[in-house]
Amino acid sequence: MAENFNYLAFVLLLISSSLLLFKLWLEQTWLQNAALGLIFTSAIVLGIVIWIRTSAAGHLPFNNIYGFLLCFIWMVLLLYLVLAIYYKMPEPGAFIIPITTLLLGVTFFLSPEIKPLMPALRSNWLFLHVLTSVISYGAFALSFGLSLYYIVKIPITAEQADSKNILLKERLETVIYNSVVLGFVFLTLLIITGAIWAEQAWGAWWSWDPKESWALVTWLIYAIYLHLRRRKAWRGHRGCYLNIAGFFCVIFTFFGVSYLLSGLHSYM
Amino acid sequence: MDLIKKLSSVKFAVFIFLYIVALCVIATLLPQNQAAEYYSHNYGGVLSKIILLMQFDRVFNSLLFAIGFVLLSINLLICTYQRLRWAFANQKKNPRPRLELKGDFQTEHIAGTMPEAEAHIKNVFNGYHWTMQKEESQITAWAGAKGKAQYWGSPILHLGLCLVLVGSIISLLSSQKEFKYIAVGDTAEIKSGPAPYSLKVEDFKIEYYDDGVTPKQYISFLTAITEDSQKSITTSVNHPAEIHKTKIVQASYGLHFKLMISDDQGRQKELSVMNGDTLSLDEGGHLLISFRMDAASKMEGQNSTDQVEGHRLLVMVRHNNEPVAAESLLLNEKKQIITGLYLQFMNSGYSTGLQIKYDPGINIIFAGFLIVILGMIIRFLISNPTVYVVFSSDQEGVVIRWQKTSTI
Repeated sequence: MAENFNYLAFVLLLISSSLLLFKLWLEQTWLQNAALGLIFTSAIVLGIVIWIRTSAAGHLPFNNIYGFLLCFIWMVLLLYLVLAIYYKMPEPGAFIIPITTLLLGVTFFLSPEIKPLMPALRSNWLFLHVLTSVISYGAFALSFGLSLYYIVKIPITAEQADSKNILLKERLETVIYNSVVLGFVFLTLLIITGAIWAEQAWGAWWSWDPKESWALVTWLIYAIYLHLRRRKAWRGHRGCYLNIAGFFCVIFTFFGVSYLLSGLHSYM
Repeated sequence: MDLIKKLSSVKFAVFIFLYIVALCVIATLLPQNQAAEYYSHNYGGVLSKIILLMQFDRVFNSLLFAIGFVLLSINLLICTYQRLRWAFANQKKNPRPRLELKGDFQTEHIAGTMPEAEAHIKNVFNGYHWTMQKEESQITAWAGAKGKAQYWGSPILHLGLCLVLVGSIISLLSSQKEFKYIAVGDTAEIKSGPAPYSLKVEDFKIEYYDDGVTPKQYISFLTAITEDSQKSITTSVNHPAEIHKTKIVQASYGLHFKLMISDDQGRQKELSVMNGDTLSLDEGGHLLISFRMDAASKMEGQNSTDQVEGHRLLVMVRHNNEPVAAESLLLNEKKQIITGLYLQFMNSGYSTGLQIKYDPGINIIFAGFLIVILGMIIRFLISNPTVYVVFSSDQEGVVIRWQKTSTI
């Protein structure tokens, strides 16, 4: 049942991705409005899927990659809707929504089976730890899409651009910065909650496990962005490339470490 | 002074960050703590020599990593000191009021000329930090002000990181850790912590979900014994026990078997062994112990590691790495393994795997975490935006575009 809703959300996102990509070339407002409507609907559908899985498991579906991915995609959609409605910037969706569609496609290859929590995961820290990672990864996904949009939309010689372009540049830099800050704050909380939980569960707050090491790598990459952003030269394209590198680290921490490297987080 | 300036620079911080990133990447992609032969077999002569020389086979215990850790500490300590000094200096100044916009991304038309618009903006920005950039067709201006609280965000955040670092160093130098497999009914001496004590395992229990197969919780019932006191404690996964300044974590469990080993002269000794244990024999050679669940229990679908009963013990005697004898024993069965040496399978039961830790640095680390969170809240959530304005002339007068931008 819940899996059928997943297919529906996937189709809706696929259509909205196409509409937003067409919007890059065709100045038709209806394309954008229709896409936003479909994204809103797919967010509701995914919300229902998460609710069904939560009811069935008795807890938020945080204990396997399938459940985590659903929550992650849902968070990206919510953050994108905030970007489109509150910040009035729906255009970067052409780069954000196709990524979420792709990630939702990945769930079709994963087992949706709901298993009871193993003893190590039976802790209130699980909820806090994974919730912070969902918000953090979602915000970084948003900053990744925004950075791609910035690179495509803002010419490198933006200093010579007209006032409209300068305002767009400034707005984008602001929104990218805000999304990185949101991601960074929650990544820090993710690491802290993980460390406190690890001290309780394993008797070691830090074990240099691959997941921990890559979380630190991701944290350091975004810390570099936040330090360098104070310099004007790093606010534009260079900062965007750094964000893109940061998001690749996020993806590797999530998929790469879970599937390629063994460690204390292998049960994910 | 020049050296301190360089060590506290953003450039140096970024270099250290990248250095640590590189070491973490190597440590996770290259298998760690393997024998030298493993690297020469998998990576060839030259590369394996580099790996071993640079200690990439144990990155987190290597000299390169220690250097990175020391440099990061120096950079962090100097930066924290400078930021705190800066915050104290700014604290004495009167903060300017927040520069508010009625709404973001406003556009305003005013009649008049560019110099008049410039004067209008200067009037609005009066009293704030502001800059203006004049071009041929447009003028761009930024203005912002910081409240008192905001000066403290970054210094507090860095102070928290310093505490985490100090706690880690204390932890590294003075923490004591030991792992004990203790059979139910047995007692072990705990040497970690300021006051050694004995730990007796009264019982070990596995709780299952309703399906009766999937484990829900592992619980150890213990008694901590000192010369003048006895205290009952319980530890389970995610719920460590704390006693005599040590933390007892339920980390693992296993099955242990009691064996009676005897010889023709009537000498006998009781042994407690676990699956996979190897014992040295007085007669020379080694005794390898393993267990298998017997067929009847397997048919009932029991999990071999969770069930205490229904096991068959397999013993093998090896001499000069060659197997010389092997036997299978059922519960209470006694067999001659080699000439003159007898083994009896007495009973089986659970043993609990406990991680015992004494760590005087952990509370400092956790205090550091709290301060990091506080610093982040002040630094990032108590925002005080910069206002960004672009104005250009058109036929009706001057168009002014206002925009709220990020915090600086």
